[in-house]
Amino acid sequence: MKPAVSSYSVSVLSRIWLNEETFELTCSRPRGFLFLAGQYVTLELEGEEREYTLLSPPESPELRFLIKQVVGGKLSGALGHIVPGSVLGMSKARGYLTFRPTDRPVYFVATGVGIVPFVAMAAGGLRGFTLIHGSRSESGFFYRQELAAASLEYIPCLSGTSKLATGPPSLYRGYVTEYIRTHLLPGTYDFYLCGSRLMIRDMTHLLDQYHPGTRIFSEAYS
Amino acid sequence: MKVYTGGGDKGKTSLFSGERVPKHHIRIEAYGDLDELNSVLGAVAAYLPATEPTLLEDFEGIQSNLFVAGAWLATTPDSSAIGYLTPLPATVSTDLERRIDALSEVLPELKEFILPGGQPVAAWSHVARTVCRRCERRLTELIEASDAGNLELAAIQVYLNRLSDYLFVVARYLNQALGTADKTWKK
Repeated sequence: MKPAVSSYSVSVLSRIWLNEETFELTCSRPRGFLFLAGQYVTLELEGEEREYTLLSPPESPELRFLIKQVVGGKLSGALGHIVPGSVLGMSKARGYLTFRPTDRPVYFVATGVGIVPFVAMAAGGLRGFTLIHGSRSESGFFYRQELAAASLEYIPCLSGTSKLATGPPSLYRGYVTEYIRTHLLPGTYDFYLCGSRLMIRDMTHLLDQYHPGTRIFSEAYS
Repeated sequence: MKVYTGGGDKGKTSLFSGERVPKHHIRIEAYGDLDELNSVLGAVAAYLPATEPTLLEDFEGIQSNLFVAGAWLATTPDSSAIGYLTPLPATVSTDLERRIDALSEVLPELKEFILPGGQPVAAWSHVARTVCRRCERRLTELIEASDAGNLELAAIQVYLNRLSDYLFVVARYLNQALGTADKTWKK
């Protein structure tokens, strides 16, 4: 068991499943807890800890998290069965994947639940960005309508081989890196990357090679 | 969160303000040396005798201050990322001066050059001092190249200058506390 790092206690208020392996967990917001959109906390239950980025915007009265059940993941497994009223430990907010105002075009790129910081930023009122979200299945395009409404352009990139339930023409078939390589016009941009480390590695190298001068902020989830 | 992504495998890295620069960029050299200094300070702290809790407290405070300084060095001055940084506490340099004065009070007056060395912990403090001087050199180079007029970097420059002196005094103090006299330079 790891030592607890909790500064706060939060109560579980509700859990909503968004697909077969991912759910949204809503918790109470402790007095005095402050954060910026894009920051994360460590949640702790019975000695098990894991870091989760806040899904809700900084002004929200409650705290929401998007949690993917990981195979063998003790905490995500336990949270999948947790009942309302249960208490979790929570650390102070940390992390630097926060938005820096700029006059450059802004691109957010996420894979899977790496979409969370960008949901929090959009929910907090941020506009004027292009969002590219990669998922292996169509059910992984969380908050699609809200993100499409908040962004200049929202591009869901389906990398898996599953058949589409609805087959929307706006959906790109392929990896987010392929989309950027084939669609991004020459120029310098501000890119925010969140999700798998392989996506971050490949996207970083691609931007370094084809879009020198581009600023990159990133955080790897897995 | 993952510690590694491989994004730097081709020789570039991101500054705190997001710019991609080669790993030998002057800004990376500057905060890399600060990181080295912080690690050497950790080595000194690890060797400190249990009878010197105030020195340990000093070192922990200095190591935290160097993190703050490193963030400033890793950020281009005209970036909006500056808004996320906190300045060094205003009294850091004068606090060091007070500590230098207090430690010096119990030391014999220095009339000749002394050889760096003596007790292992004191020898490490001399190493830390020389790394600190290199940090100063890198910083002045950075200020001259791109950060002239940056008041926070000017404050860090003063702090590093004072920290070098502090580490020299700490080395002498520890040698004396542990029963080893200064060895003077024989011309």
